[in-house]
Amino acid sequence: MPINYEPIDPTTDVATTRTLLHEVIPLTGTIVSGTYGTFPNDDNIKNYSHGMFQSVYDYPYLSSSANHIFDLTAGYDESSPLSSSLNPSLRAKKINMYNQFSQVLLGYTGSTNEVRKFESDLTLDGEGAMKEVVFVNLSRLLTKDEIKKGSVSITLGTASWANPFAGTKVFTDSEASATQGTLNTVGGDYGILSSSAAGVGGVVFYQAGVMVLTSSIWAGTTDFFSQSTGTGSFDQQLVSGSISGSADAFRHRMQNLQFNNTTEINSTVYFCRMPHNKYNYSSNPTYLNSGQVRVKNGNRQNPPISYVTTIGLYNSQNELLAVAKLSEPLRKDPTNELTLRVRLDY
Amino acid sequence: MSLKKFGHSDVIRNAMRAYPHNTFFIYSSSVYYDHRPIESGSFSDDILSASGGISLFEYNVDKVGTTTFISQSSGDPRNVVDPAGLNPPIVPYVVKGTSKNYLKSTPRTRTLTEGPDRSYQITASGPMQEVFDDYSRVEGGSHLTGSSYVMSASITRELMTTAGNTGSIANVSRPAYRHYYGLRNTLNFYGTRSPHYLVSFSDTETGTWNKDEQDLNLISIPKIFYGSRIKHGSMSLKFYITGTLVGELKDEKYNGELIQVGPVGSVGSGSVAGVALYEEGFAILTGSWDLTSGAAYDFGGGLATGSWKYFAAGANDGNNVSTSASFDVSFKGHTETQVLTMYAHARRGEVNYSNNPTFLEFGQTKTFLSSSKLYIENDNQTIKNTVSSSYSGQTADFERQVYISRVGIYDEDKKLIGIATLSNPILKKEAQDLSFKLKMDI
Repeated sequence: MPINYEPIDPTTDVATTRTLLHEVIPLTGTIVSGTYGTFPNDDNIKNYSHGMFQSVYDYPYLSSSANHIFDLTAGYDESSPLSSSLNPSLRAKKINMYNQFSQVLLGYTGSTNEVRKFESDLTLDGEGAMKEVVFVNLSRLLTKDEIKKGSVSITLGTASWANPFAGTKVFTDSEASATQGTLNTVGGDYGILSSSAAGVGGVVFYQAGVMVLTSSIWAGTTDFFSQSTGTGSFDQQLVSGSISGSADAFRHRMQNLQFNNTTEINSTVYFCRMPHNKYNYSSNPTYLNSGQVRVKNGNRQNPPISYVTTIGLYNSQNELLAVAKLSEPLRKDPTNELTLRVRLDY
Repeated sequence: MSLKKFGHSDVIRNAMRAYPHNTFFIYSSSVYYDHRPIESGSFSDDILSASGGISLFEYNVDKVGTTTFISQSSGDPRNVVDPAGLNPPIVPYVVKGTSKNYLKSTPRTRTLTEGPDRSYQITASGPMQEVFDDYSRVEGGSHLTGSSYVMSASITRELMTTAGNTGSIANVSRPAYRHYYGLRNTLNFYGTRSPHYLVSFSDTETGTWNKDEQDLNLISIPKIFYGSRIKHGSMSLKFYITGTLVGELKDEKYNGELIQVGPVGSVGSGSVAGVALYEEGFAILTGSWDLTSGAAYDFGGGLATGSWKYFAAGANDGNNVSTSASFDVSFKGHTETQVLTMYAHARRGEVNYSNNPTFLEFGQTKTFLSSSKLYIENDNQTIKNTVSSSYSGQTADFERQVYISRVGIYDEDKKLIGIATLSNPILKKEAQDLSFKLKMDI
């Protein structure tokens, strides 16, 4: 227990900071298709009996080491031409899925509280609606507090089913940044995923961690999917196939996805000051040898030296609250003064 | 929105004490934690890079390759990376600003100056990043990356031959086994528990020893496995030769002495072979009697008869050990978790309305009047009747009812600080009392 304490002045010795910690998240297409098992029945892909969405893991999901990385689903708006197709499969589920996402992310509009539609711009004026879409719902484990604006890039294969990456489109949110290029909605900020060659491919919601990709990406792809029943376009898949079938076909065409996430770390920094005439002595039992200060090497004239290893933070009742350890002992003697920054993250 | 205040008996704080059981099995220079196999994946032989232990983050699973930032000189304003390999790892980074925050980077070597007159220089290695070396050198806005979460913990064994030996580094005499020197004071401190802790001791009944002159076998157990301390008396060390138990140590007296308790009648049975430092997470073994009846095995460094100083050979000590020997280390930890329990009550006649838009009939006019000066909501909106009828084609009589799906917790400033979500929404009718028990481990 210390004999005396060095008071901390809240006005000069305490500062609060906010740091943004980021992570680079590279997800290559190999792990979502074909690496773990045989496509489409990969061991890291989980389908559910409700058939509403498909979960993708970074390792076979039966292992306790596997992490859930994102969910895939697809849907269309009620006003989409696909909705009035003959013999549509799971029509209600696909419309519900579209509405569910749009309600949560975009909210409602008009006096009758109509559910908004996803748009290919930042205006939400009803123009440029994306009515047939694929949803990539990224895990909170990967997105943390939010996706970093301006860091998203997705590469999708648009060529034939047999060789999908013979032709690719790369969509990025390069127009988005922390200060511009996004629109705030009830579901948080969203930015546009676009390509100079292929135009707008969808939108990304940064706080929600959801990517919405439009069917027009594969507008010229006649064999978007290939199953035992035959091949067909994206729209045909969305009309007559299951949601998990659409997710399978999308995985088959996903070559790369990368983004950076953000975690906000709030910190309090305590500046612990050691004046030249203090903390030059230690109460450690090893500081003395036969009653003499060991570091004086037998010469009383030598100045005292201590090696600082630990800082204790006490409350006003002198109760120890926290201990900060130095990575290596710091030499302290009457000829020097030390100021140590003790940072507390929370 | 109305809020409900917790009553004085609705918030309970207590501590939950647990004794997590841990087992390490060491065989053929590999460590197996809790009998788990080392998982291999499509890209890596050990998917968590935590052979025989636990991965701190369990984040980069089965990753291989590198993730590097594309040079800023390429002109791309985005934080794009150049993932090389089929499954490159997730890498953390901070952008250099004014906070002086940075991440510990890859291991490096640097020179430290020490000694009373600062005349000695030694070389230190490890994951360190000096402010002067990296942080101040790079330009503002640069990416300061950290290691890619490959942090793991496992037990380590260290054989210290004549533990008190000194060696010469930079012409200065220094302890050859600094881990032992770091524990000498601690060993003497626990001498009140048992004299077997003491570094030096002499007694006609107990025996005479000086640990400085003995060969010590140090088993180090990281704190992440046991919490605040290892449970006293829970440690068990088993020594097997070709699958047959040749010795077992236990702390039968609960005073830290590791006494050979088995097999019955074995050489050294009843003798103290070492001590356990429960608070610090170490076992120090000194027993040198022959456990293998003269048969010699390779415990690393040549053939030798089995004794406790070779226990756990191959546990992250760099030795290639005979496949005849195997070892088992088991113990219980001691953890205390602070638990906050809150009871949120939904009394009868309360919590019967929802702000969810679907709580009202669809298609109603929401706004009665809206002008530049007035905004009046329609106060004649109809609540949707969600009461299920028992009969087909018949609508049940209206009742006020809601489905509760979440409980929000607010602080004294009415700021939302937590949300408890139910696994399934619960129906609450007007005449019902409901209580939700919320638990949070801190």
